[in-house]
Amino acid sequence: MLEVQVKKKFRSFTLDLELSAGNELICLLGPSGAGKTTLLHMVAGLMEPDEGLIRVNNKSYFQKPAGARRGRQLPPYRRRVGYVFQNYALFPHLTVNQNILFGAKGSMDETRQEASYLVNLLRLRGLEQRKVTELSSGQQQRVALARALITRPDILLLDEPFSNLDELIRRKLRLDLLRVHRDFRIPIMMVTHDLEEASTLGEMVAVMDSGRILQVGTREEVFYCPRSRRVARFVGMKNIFDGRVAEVKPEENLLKVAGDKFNVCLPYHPCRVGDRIVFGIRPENISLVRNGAELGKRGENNVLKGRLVEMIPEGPGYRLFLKTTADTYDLEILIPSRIALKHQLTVGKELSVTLRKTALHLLRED
Amino acid sequence: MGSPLVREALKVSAVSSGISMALILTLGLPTAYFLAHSNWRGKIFLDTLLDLPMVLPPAVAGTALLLAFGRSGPVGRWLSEIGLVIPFSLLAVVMAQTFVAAPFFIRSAKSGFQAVDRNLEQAAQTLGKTPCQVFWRVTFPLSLPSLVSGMIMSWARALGEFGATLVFAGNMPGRTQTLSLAVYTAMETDFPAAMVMSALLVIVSFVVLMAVKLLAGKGLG
Repeated sequence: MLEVQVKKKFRSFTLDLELSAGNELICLLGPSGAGKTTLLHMVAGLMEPDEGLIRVNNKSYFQKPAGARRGRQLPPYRRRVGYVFQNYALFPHLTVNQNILFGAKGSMDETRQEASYLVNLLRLRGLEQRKVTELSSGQQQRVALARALITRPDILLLDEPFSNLDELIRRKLRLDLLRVHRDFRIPIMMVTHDLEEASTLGEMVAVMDSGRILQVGTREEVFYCPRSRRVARFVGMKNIFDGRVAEVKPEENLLKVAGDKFNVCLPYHPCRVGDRIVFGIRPENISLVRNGAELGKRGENNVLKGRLVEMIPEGPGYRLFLKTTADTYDLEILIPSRIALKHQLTVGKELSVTLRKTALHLLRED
Repeated sequence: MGSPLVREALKVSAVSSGISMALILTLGLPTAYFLAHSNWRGKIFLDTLLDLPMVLPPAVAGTALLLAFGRSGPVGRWLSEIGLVIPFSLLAVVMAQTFVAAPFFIRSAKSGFQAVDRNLEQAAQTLGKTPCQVFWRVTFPLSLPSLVSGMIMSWARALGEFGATLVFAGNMPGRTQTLSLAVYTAMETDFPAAMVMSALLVIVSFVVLMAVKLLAGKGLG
C-alpha cells in the first residue's frame, strides 16, 4: 500500500503530486527533469518535501500539513524501503556476498538462508566471493536488487534500472523483476523513460511532466486512452489531429468530425456541433485495406487514401508514413512485416487505410 | 648517537609528534567530514582559515601562537590565571606542530570524503544504517587511502617542524628541543651529532613512509 501526496518548491519548478496504489508495479514515465527521481528520493526519505504526506503499508513516513512549521520525517534508515540506484551504488570495497548482507537483520542462520534464496532467485550463484567491480552491469544490477530485497522492504524503488544494459540482458532482467514482484507482493515503483518498458512491466503507469502527474492508470488506460495531447505524445500515440464536430448522434454512438486534414467518425462523446476537438489513434490501430476489398459500414471504418512516403523497419514489423494531403506525412502506421509483404509495399505506392472507429480517441486540449 | 642531546631530542620529537598526530586525527576527522558534507554558508571562511597555516611562513605561525597564548595574549592571560602557562613547554611544541600540520590532514581527508559517491551513503541509509554506521562502514573504508596519505603528509610536516616551534616553544634541550631544532643547534657546537641526527631523520622518515605505503598497497588496493 502506497499513498503519496507531496509538494515541494524548487528553483525551476514546483513538484506537486498525488499518487496511491496497492501492490502494483508502477512505472513513472516522463522526460528527464519531470521529478521522477525526486519522487523516489522523497519516498525513501533522502529528500524532505515541503508539505504533504507519505504512507507506506499504513506506516507514516512523512507528514506535514500545509502551513505547519514542523512535520514528521522518518529518517531513511527507519523506513522499510528498498532502493536500487541508477548506477546501482554497490559498495566497491565489499564482495558480492558482503554487499547482499549489508542491510540484513536477524540471526546468522536466517540471513544466510535469505541470502541463499535471493542468490538463486537472481541468478547470482557462483559469484558470491567476487568483487563487485569485476561484475558485468547486468550482474551488478541483480546484486543491487538482492541487496535491497534482503531487508524485506515494504516497497521497492527502482531508478531507471535497465538504462545501462543491452537489449538482451534488459529482457532477462525484466523477467527477473516480474518474478521478484510475484514473490514479494510489495508495491514496486520504477522510473523509466522507455515506452516499451513501461508497457511491458507497468501494471500501472503514471505519466509525469514538470513535477506533476498528468495521468495515472492501468497501462491500457494510459496507452490507449490518454487524457490529453501531452500524455498522448509521451505514450507514443503519434497520430494526433485537430478538428471540428460536424454531427452528433448519440443514438448511433457516433460523432462525425470534420478534421483539418480529413473527415472521420468517432465514438459518441457529449459535445456540440461546431466544438473544436483533438483526437488521436495509435499507429498499431491503423490497418491497411487490400485493393478492391469490400468494406462494411463506412462509418465504422474511416477509410482514408494516401501515398506511402517512407517505411522504416521497426522490431518485427514496419513503421509507415502516409501522406493524405499535400504537406509532410500525416499518418504513422505500425504493421507486422507479414502484412507489409502481402501488400508488396514500396515507397510512393497509393494505399487505403482504415482507422477503426473504436480505436479513435478523443483528447482533452491542454 | 649515544649522546644525551640526541636521545633527548629524539624523545621530544617522538612524544610531541605522536601527541600531535592523535590530536590532529581526533579533531581533524570530524572537521574534514563537516567541511566535505555541510552546506553551511560560512564554510568557505572556515575552509580558508584552516588552510592558512599551510601558506604562512612557520615563523609567522609561531608568532601568532605566541601572541594568542603568550602570558599577555588574550587566551594566555586567562590561562595563566588558572595556572597554565603554555609557551616554552612541551605542550607548546605539540600546539605548534598541530597548528602547522593539521591542514595537510584535513585537506586530504576532506577530498577523500568528497570523493565517496553520495549514492553509496544514501544506499547504506536505505539499507537501515544510521549516519554513524554509514560513516564507519562505507565512508571511512572508502576514504581510507586519502586519510592515510593525509596522515603521512601531516606527520612528516609535524616531525620537520622548525620555525613555529622555535618561536613559540623555544629551543630547550630535553624539554622543547625536537630533532630538527637539535640539528640546527648541533651544527654550531657538535657537527658529528648534527650529521647523525640528520641521518636518523632521513632513515626514520624513509622507513615509516615505506611501511605505510606497503600497508596501504596491501589493504587498500
